[in-house]
Amino acid sequence: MNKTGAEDLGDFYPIRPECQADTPKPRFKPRAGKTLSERRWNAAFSEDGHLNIEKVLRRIQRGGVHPSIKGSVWEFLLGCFDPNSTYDERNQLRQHRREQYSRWKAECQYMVPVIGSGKLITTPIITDHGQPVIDYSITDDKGQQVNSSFSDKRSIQWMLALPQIGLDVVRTDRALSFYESEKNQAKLWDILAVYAWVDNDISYVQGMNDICSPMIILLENEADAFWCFEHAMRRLRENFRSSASSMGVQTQLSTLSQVIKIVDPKLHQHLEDVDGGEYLFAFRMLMVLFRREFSFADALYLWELMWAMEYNPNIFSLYEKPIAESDKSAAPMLNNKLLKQCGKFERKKVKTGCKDQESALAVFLVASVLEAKNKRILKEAKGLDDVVQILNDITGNMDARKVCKEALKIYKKYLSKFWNAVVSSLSTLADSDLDLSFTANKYSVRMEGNVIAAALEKIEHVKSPEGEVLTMPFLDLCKTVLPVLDNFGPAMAPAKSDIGGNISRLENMYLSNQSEFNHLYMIVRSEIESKKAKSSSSCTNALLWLTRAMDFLSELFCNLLAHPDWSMSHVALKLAPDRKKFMSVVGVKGDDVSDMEKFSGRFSPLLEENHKFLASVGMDNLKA
Amino acid sequence: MPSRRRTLLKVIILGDSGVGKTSLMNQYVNKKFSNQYKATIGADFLTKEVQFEDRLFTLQIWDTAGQERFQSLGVAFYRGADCCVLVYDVNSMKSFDNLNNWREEFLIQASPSDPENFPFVVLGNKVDVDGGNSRVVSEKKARAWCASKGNIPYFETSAKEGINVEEAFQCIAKNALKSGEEEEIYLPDTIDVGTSSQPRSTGCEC
Repeated sequence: MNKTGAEDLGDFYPIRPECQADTPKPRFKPRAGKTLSERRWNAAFSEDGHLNIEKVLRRIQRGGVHPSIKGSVWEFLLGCFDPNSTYDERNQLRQHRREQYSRWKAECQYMVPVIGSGKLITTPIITDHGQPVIDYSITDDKGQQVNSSFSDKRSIQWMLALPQIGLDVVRTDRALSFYESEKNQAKLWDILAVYAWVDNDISYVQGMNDICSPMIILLENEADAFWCFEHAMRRLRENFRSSASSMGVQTQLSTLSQVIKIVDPKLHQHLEDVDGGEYLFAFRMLMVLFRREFSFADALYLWELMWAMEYNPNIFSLYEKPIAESDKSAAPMLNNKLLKQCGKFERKKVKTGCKDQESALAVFLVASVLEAKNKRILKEAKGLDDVVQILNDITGNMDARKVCKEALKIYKKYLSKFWNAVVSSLSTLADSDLDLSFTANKYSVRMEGNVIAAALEKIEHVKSPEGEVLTMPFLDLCKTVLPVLDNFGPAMAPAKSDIGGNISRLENMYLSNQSEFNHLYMIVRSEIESKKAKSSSSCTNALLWLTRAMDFLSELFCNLLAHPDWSMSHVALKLAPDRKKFMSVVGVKGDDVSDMEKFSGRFSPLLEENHKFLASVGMDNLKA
Repeated sequence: MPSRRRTLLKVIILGDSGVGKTSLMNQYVNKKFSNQYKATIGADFLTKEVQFEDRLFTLQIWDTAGQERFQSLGVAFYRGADCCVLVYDVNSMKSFDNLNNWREEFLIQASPSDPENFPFVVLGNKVDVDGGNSRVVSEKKARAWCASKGNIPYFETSAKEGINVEEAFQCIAKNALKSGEEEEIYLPDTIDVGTSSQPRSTGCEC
């Protein structure tokens, strides 16, 4: 180690001498006092092997992991092992997994003997119909690479994928001395082949070799490398899912487009204008997690920063369940102690209640790269090709830590801007010349007690025995649910007062002639007769916008019920407060949502009725 | 951006994984061969300035991923192509058999205005391998297929040795230029009054 505390990486990932000129130089250097060192790593374990993950994460997020211990640290970051386990427990699990890998590999070997032989294949071994291809260059008895002909779809598909894996393996990280060895190439081929056999849903897709390659360099035991790769794939496999019309990664690309639209609308607009609206220029970055944009060592550094920031202490138990059973909502809740064991990004994510895969940190990393090139893209990009060009120029020139830091900033900005966008779209619901006599005081309903139970009770009385919507009970009901908006913080206040203004206008009308306006729709009918309905200050207008605002709340309730994890797919909820807190404020105790379900089931048909009536008199599409 | 359209010729290279698409593109543009290329993910491109008569063009060559699974992305990348290069490996029968799929898929996804006459060029690559001893697709067979698809120009190349690469891309550029100019006739709003259209001819004049 030299005086600056930085050491050379050349010894860890040696480059073939003839390739040195064409290979980007790594920027990452282990820094004393910042990078997780071997000594610190060893010191983070208790006597029986419990790992202080919180301490370790803090280090990694600051300066990455020293190359000498990357393999074993990654096993924890990727969730192969529970930090809360003992050495013995982990050894047992490791043993168990190694045996499992051997069994799978033996199945593969039985079909294709080249597996595990230290060699690999790059040419077809069977036809599309499962007949063995005779290869006369093979000197064994029959010139066949397979043990018999196969007819089951799974075996055929797998064997058809093998040459593709081979073609990519021989081209993987060829600049590294490590892959000069045929044995090491064959190891990569074996692992990818076994993976394709086990995960036959995804099988093999180009790019998985780039993800797998570092694992083999970092973990000497082949089975251990396999499991590390398998765990990395749990986060990434949806990106590799392909159909006739799309690739899985396009889901993340559309999240990326949402993010840029919100944090940098000007850039988003420009990208749309130059036909980059699908963000395909970011395809490779997400698919192989920046392996092509960063040097080998820097990509590894970026990955561990990213996985540390995304770390969730429940990851191990979540992964230990078979894939089919892993119901996200069944994950144990995070208390404060566990929250401290989350990475920076994950903590923020858990606090806002979002758990989905589409909004992985990688998406925000791409956003941060785009933001870094924002000026050049705006100025120089006149087509999709220019964007690709500008992004190609970053190769080898980006600082992994900086990209991560910016990504976190963008994530925060996204969260706050997102909510503002929701609010402003809501406030356009209200018209400009509202009845300003409305005061929050007058209509504020105290939140103590049970909002939902109260609303449920009120909704019983909204209709007359003849089925007519009654003015005051309806307005009462609206007033009861309106304070729900308080939970969205002060940002929601303007929208809330606008809605209150509409309630107030209708209520004043009712008070002016209680018997005539006892039925809500009579107010509208009388305004139509006097040709006042279309005025922006009409009660008709107020009823329309009030109904629309209530649609939003109703939608919110439906969402809460349908998505116990505040799914990100429902944009309007991305910035909503913590679900648990929210539920307790609206009066849902524990997870008893039956009242909410009942209310929700009645509220939306009622609103629908308003729309139908307004539509029947031609008033359902008035503009503010 | 009409000025841009006129001087930019877009070429797409398609073909099975590992036939040498990236190598061919790099040999033509950078005049070098490297054994360091990785599998292409998504699509990437290089550009080269070419001159015809006294006009300068930018040839934009798009290199694509060879695995069939990536084909759904084609729509976005093939858009506006002026010529499509189909590459196979003369040592791999399967890569030759697949040319038909690549051609058809391209026509579906790029949906050129005149699919019958859209310019393709076929390259049989890796003729250097094993002194030609491992070759499984004969030149005759390849030419016969090209003839059956409306006289597609055909070249046998070695990206590694730089054999026939320059010639092939000259032909590609010429065909792209022809197709680009005809497109201007179909789309009146992009007509450049300074250019004259040439009569169509199939096959390559080079």
